Amino acid sequence: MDCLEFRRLIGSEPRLTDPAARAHLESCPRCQDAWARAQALEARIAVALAVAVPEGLADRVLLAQLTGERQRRAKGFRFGWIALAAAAALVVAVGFVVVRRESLGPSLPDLVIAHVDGHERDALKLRAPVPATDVDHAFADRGIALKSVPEGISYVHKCPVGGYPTVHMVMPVDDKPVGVVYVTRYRAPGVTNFERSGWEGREVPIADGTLVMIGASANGFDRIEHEWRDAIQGSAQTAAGSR
Amino acid sequence: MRAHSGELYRYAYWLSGDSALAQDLVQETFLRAWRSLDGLRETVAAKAWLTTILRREHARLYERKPMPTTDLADLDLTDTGPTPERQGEDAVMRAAIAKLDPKYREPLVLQVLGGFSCEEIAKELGLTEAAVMTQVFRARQKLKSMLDGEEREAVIHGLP
Repeated sequence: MDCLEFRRLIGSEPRLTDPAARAHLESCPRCQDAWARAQALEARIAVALAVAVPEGLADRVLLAQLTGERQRRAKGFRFGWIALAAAAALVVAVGFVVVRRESLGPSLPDLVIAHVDGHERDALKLRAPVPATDVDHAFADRGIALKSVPEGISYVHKCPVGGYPTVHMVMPVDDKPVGVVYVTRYRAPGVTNFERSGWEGREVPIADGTLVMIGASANGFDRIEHEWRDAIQGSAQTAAGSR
Repeated sequence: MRAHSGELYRYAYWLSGDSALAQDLVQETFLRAWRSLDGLRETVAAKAWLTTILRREHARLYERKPMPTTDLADLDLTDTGPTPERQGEDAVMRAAIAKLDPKYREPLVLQVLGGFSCEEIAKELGLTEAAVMTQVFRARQKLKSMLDGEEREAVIHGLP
């Protein structure tokens, strides 16, 4: 390598990974000066490019992933109720960031609680049943053709929860709300009952997804689980004990 | 995620020239990345994968909503350097980088901030490696030229 080639190279690849260039550098004092100047320029460029990262950016991104809410940076935090929800969700988010996707199972209840209790709490107050066609369409949009539609659904919406497409519903039992979320693309390893954050819950693998129910008590969970097995798998498979 | 968010923000900032838009871009990038995590085959490739998503999101935003301004001369040049002299140098350099044509600035940012090789940048930008080497070479030449001009002007006006 000659001096001209070397000068061209340090203008385009200043890290000098080419062994021939390194050999030339060691043997040429004039190019050593040129290389030192190039390194000084490189350091100035690197410092200038490293603009300050807004404080809390990573937390806001995590929160948006958790709730699926594309809120505009600080705007959303001006409102007290969102700040409260955010604080609750952030506790989950901090833990969630280190969880690999393959081991999402144990975190799913937390994600659902953060979504149902934080992001869409008002939905729990609804009591009037929604049309069965709304439920049917919500599942169809998620690629699932329901065999039947359970009765008593007072809310249905397609929501992302922790990055997973879900259908979020509310099914009151004895006038008390039960949040019901069918998570697609993730099948829990087995049926699990859980208690946390003042909620009782159950996650149930059904077909290729997972049904998660949360309520003040477990009343109605058996019935809801059975109805959704029938709705998603068909009553014949449910009767045959398919999980 | 935390490991990449700062780097992605800086890349988005130099791509868009706007802090607010850069934050939106980072948020959208991670949302999309999370939904298509299956597309990531190797953890070591995460940075390049996220960079690709961010570039596509930037292109999508441009198509959907043209930016109010693309004049990067209006960039926030707030100084954060350790000394006034150093702050001034950094501000001058940032202004010079902001004035570069995007076709020179983007590969330079990918190389210096992202640590990508010319070959990797070529793949990312859909160019030949030789074209990328030429662009980053010219980017540095233009920066040197602009900085020489700034420094001469400072001497003329008796500035430090």
